[in-house]
Amino acid sequence: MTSPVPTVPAGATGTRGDGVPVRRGRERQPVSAWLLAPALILFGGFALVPLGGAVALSFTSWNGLGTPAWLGLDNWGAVLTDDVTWLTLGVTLKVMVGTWLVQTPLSLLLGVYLAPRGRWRAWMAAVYFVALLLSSSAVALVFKNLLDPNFGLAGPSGPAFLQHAWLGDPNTVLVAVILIIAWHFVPLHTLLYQAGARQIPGSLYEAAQLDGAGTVRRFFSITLPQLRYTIVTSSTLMLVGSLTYFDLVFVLTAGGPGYATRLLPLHMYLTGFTATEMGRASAIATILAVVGLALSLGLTRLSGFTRMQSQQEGL
Amino acid sequence: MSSTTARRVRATAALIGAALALAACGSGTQPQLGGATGGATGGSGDAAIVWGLEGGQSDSYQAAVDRWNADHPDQPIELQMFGNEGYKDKLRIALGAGQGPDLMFSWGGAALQAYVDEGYVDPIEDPAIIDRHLPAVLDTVTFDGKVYGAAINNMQPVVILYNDAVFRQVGATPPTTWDELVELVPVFEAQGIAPIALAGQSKWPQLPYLGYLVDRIGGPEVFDAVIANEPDAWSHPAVTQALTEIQDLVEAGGFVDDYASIAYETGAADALLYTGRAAMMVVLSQAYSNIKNAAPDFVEAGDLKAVPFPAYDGGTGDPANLVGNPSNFWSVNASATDEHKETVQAFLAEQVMNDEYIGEILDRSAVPGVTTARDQIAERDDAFAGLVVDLTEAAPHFQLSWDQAINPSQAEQLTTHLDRIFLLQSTPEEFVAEMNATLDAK
Repeated sequence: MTSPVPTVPAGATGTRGDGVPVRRGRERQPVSAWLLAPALILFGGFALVPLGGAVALSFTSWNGLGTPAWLGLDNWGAVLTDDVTWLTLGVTLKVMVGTWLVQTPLSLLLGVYLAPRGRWRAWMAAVYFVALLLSSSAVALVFKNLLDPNFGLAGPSGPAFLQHAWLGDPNTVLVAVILIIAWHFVPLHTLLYQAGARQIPGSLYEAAQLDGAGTVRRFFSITLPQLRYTIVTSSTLMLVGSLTYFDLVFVLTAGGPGYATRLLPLHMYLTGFTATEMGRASAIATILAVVGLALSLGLTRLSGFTRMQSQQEGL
Repeated sequence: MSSTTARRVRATAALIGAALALAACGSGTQPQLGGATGGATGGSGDAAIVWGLEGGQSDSYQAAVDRWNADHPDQPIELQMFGNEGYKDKLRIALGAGQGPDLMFSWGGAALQAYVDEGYVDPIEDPAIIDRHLPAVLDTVTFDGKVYGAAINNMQPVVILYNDAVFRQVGATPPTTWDELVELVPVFEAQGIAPIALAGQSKWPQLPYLGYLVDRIGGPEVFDAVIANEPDAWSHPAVTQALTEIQDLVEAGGFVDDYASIAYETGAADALLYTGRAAMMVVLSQAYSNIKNAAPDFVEAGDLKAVPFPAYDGGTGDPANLVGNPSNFWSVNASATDEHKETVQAFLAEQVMNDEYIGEILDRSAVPGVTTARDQIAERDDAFAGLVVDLTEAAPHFQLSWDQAINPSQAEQLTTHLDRIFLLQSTPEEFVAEMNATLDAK
């Protein structure tokens, strides 16, 4: 989140003695580019090479057995003209927006609440964090059984407001999926906000309090602006992360009923491994990678995250 | 500035070097056959690996392996069990990567044939294994005159299982025709009982409705044309009529309200039947064993009964025809080492479908598709096993489940579009158009 070399804020140049910052930079030991090698090898070997492989496969016809046969642009034509591709892209967008709308306020409030020191809060934070440690498949299985309309909490023996086929009704299944995803991932974002809120200097709050600002005013005038980059980080993780939801949804609904929860990554899996059309699935995978890349680049550009100016100038 | 450039060049060189190194590793494990890397991995030591699927008869797989290992400590076998969901994907990836088990669980049909065509499966030539099978069972794994699988469990025709206590309660008799089935719907509805339990989320439990109705209305030729990829094979009027009957049944409230959220693996559909919340279930006979394991008291009381799928008035198909899985099989991996091949072939001959194995399956009211079971079946007097024997012996045609009989790409489209029929999200005409578009897709 923070860049390794603290940049001097714009407009501050020269105010602390001429030339000194430059010399300070020179005195440091030169860092060898070889230190990058492990990261590059991992990233190259496990991200770039497979990505290239997927792009190459998208021009072939391959059922996972034998040798792929060259097909040209047929897969791309089929994928781009298939209504199901656009339908699943729509479902993915809905889940993306939905998870952001549900998770951001929840984790922001929880994170800020858990930030001050205190035994009770620390205990709560620890307990709350457990949800993130569970495997997605386990979470999905638990909720699938809890939401079983006959024998689960959503059945006749459960509370009345839960009595509904949450996962079987195409109109409610997306809501259920978004809420379960939130249950699983809010702890992570809470942690981000908790750490962010802890870095806000107490002097800001003291000054505001002296000026007569109440809790709500302090939250909106100090906490929120100070958390600006945490919000950008968390939102990027959420939005780009929602392009990768697979295991949880696959176990929970397998993309059904009908196409109601068929997310793009799930569509890719079903096309590749159930329908065994690896070429077509690779085309979908490439689309997925391009969308994800565009999204994260766009988000960091738009939010000014890349410039990363200090929020604590003058303190 | 020039030092930055030099650093960049070095970093780029490192990246390219690493990428090339990894690419080189990758090309060594290309999905090719007969490579030096052949053979199963993932097990402990040098045991031959066997993959099985959890199900009513899975205890017998373990028992057979245990018996083998006790007799042959120098040729150990390790059984690895999997759930139904995702198994087919896992097997395909493992085989494609040359990491498959020595002995693989399969359904026979088009999926197995694809592996055979690509040379991933060895034929079984031991007459002791081949000759014990019933013809309908053997047909499922015979391609070009060679046998590629040994039956490991029971014949699984799809039947109607019903809760007799519930039928007595409302004073109904099990249906013998489709119209009688439809007429039963309001009878059970009036008592607050779901007429039919259905695990809709798993999708495959919906297939027998289409399979049976098409067969009853138009005969086996209709689906044979689909298997043969004849143009517009799905346009046969029997298909449209069957789909319309299904949607009428859905609209009449024939299925348990929340069927779209029930997955078969959770056991909820079975439980609906044995707790009396649903009256019937159209399901593989395998479910009888599952229920016997889950609710032994219910089965012992004699309340779990079965009838064949009903006849269809005016249909041209023989009502004695069956749909289902003639059996499940173990097939030998062609890339296994010679020692492992020898081990698993001997294992199939010695410990699978011997008297002990057959006895265990019959104990669960299931009927193995082998002639060697006849004596033991006669000795016992099990009503359900007797029904399965009668049905399979009388059936002129035993159609393998549709999703196994056509290629996986078509099967995925079939289950998805049939799901949309059940959800009333698409019309029979749309289904026919979508499925016709999949024909001839390899």
